[in-house]
Amino acid sequence: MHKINRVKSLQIDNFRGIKKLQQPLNTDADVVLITGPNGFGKTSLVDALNILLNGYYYSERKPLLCIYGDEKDLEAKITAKVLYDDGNEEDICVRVNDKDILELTAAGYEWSAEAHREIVARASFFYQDLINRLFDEEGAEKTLKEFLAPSPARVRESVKAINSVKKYLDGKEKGVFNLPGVISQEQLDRQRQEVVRDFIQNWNELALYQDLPGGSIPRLEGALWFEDSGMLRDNWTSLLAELVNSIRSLRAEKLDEVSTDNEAIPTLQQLMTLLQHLRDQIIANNQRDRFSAFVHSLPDGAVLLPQERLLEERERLNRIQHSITNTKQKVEQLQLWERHFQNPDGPGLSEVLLALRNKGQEWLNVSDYMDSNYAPPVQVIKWLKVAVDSLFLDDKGVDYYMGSWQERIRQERMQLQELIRKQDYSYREGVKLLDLSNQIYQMAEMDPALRELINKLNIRGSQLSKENLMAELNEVNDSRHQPLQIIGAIINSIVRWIETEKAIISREKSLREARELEKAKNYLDGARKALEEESSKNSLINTVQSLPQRDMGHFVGMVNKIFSRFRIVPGLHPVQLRPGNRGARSSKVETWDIRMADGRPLSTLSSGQKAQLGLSLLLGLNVALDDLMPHHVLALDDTTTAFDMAQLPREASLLRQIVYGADGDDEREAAGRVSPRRQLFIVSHHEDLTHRLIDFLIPPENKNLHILNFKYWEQEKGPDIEQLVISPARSVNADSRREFGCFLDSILNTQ
Amino acid sequence: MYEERIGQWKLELSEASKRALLGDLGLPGDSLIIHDIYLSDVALGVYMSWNAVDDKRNNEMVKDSIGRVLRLLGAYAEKFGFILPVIGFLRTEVETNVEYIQRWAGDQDWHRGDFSLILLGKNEADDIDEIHKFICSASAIWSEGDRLKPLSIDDYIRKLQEEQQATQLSPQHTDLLNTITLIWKQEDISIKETLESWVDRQIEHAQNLIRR
Repeated sequence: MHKINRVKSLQIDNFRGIKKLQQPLNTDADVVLITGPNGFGKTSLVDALNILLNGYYYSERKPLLCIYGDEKDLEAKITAKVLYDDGNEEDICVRVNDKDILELTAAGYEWSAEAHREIVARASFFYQDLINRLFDEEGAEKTLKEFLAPSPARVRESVKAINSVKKYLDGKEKGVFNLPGVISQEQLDRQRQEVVRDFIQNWNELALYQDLPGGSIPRLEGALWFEDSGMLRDNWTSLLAELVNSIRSLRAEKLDEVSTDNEAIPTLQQLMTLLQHLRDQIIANNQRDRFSAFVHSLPDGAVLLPQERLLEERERLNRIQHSITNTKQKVEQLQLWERHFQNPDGPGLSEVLLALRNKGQEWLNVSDYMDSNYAPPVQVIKWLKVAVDSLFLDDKGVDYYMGSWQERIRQERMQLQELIRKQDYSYREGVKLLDLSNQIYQMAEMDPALRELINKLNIRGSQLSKENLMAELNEVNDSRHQPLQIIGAIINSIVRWIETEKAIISREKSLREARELEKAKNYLDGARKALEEESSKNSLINTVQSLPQRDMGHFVGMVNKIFSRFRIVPGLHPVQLRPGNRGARSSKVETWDIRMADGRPLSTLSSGQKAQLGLSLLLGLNVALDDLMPHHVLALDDTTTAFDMAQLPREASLLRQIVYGADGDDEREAAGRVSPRRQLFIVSHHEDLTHRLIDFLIPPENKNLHILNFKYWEQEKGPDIEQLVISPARSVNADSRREFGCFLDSILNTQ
Repeated sequence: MYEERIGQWKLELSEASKRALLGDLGLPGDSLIIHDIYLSDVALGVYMSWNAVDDKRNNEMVKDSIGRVLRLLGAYAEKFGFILPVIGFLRTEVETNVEYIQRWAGDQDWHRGDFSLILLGKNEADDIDEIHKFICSASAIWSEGDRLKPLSIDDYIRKLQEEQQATQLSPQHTDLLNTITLIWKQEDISIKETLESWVDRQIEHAQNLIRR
């Protein structure tokens, strides 16, 4: 397809204010000046050209058909003879139906793609009454930002997806750090939640008793400790410390104040001490209750040892202790070997061997295009060859044997550590039971009734379990001792709580000790950082979507060059484009907003300044988008009205450059060194300005200016147009310039 | 360079004629000077300088003289057969004259649209560029290298790859951007699933580090 360089003639039927032109308009000129009073159809002619050349009309121009009364089945028709850039001519036609649908009939011409038509119109047709349509931040339907640098759906959606995938990584990461033999963090978190719930429930039961020694204790609010989701709140250690401190001061206990920054375990131990003191005070009030309290404090399911087995149990515990010491020494030995081949400053032996196997041969294969002058020392290459050659013992590499050995040592160490954990637990439980058993026999020695109770159980062959002892005491349901039972339950909760905290500390220690885990964690931190950076404002994805500085810099420079042609007040020039947006949240449109040199927005400009800037933007776009433009025609509807007198010679010289060019341009244009010149349709309503403009636009020889003077308008016929051809002035060239110089010299020197 | 840019449009005129154009102003020495006159089918430009220090009476005389020169040249040109917009380019080294020139340029009662007056910038070396902009063809404002075209997804991919190469990135970040590039290239793959697969690969790599 070719571009239209000129509209040579134009006929319009049934279009807006033009019922039918009496005769085709001869527009075969570089400049066609359209003049006449308001309402005579001048803008309709420009609209017809817009539709003919761009396939576009602004919605404000509807209805497009010229219909009076009950006329039906009408269509508008715009026909033109056009000259293409290859020198050929064609008659083309656009029909507009009553639904404002356009149909172009042309063999050699096509409009731009539908999505581009508004921009193409914006780059070639200026309407003073629709000037807001030229600017992104005002009425442009499709913004320059969306047209030139759209954010494709794929790009927008990938940014959103990066945000959501961060959570996916967090969820997956938890599973990575669950080591064999180490309880998972999730399990420990659950365990802690359960024990704290038990604690609060028991505590609040005790808080119901008003007659405790030293007064009642405060009730705990579950909502302060737990989130709605059931998770324990992060500040639970502070709440615990506050509780301990309040009880301490309430009961005037001589204990140190607990810091809210404290570790949980010392705080829990202090709380346990406080509760034990409370229990002792209750017991002290009733000698008979001591034994009962002791029984209550026994762990649920505990079975005390028969007296004759105490010595044997002591010896068994000593054996366990000895075995733990031996196993720990073995573990230390294994850890020494594990650490021996590691390297705190970089990769260990295992990694070095693996790297040699994966990359060694590749390092030896030097390409021909690598300059041997820069090769590493020959000793290094020799060593590398020996290392690579000796890396494989049979079909497996040395690194395989090294890896297998490391895995065996690790497995063995982990098994021994698991054994130590079990033995340690067994030892501590045994010692606890032995102590409790010793205590009961000591109490029995001092209390005959108690001796009798134990004997009774022995004779019956019953175990010395908590349940049997309580049943024998016949106190289980004795409400007098309920507080002691509750305190026992609270202490049990605290013991379990402390064990949970210890397990959490032990897990963290195990993780810290695992160097490989640290590496894995660092790796995943890198992945997370990448996601975070790509979802931040400064992401590379955002960078590629931002204003294309280089291209836009050229474009804005060109607009500024044109804008500076007008007489403008200080502070306006040079203008800049800045990213912005327009519209409500749901229908937000990205824009490139204009900012004056002093930072003012477009809305602060006068109508004249806005017209100058609008014209500069249009002319800048016209050449910047030349590849998309299907024609080289410009139409300016009423630019002059908004301009003061000082702008006229400036605007005229600008238009003369575009339509006539300077002498020598024909050759330069033929050589493709300058943009082709444009055909200009210019509308002027104001008689004085029109005359001035005609003066300034009088063409040189070989160029032409036609005037379409709209003299009258009738509803039935449309406009009555007088067609005038202006005689050209003398052309400026080297000869005429020289003659003019002589002419001036002769006049001025004879005065 | 000068000849190439603007020399071809310079009017050969004797110094005596230039002085005669100014007439007898009764001003000291070289207060107002006509350097050159340029002429093309676009416009008639008169390059002048005014370097007299601020004096209210003299300033009015300078203003009248500039108006007279520009109108006279326009009239002589028309008499000879040229009909062109007339533009005066005025340079001054005197800071206090700048405001006067700006006021005159906007004084419609004075120029009545017969000509335009342009204050040249501070840098004298730029004068030729400024005059060239008004006298020569559209190539002075429209350069061929200033074309724009809408960015396509391929342009975004190319820009992302360029940014990647120009930025020091972690291996994970590079891998993530390669995955994004793949997502942009292939319309038919699920964005969410592809990114989750990327996360799965990171997790797998971390697990391999632990098992090693």
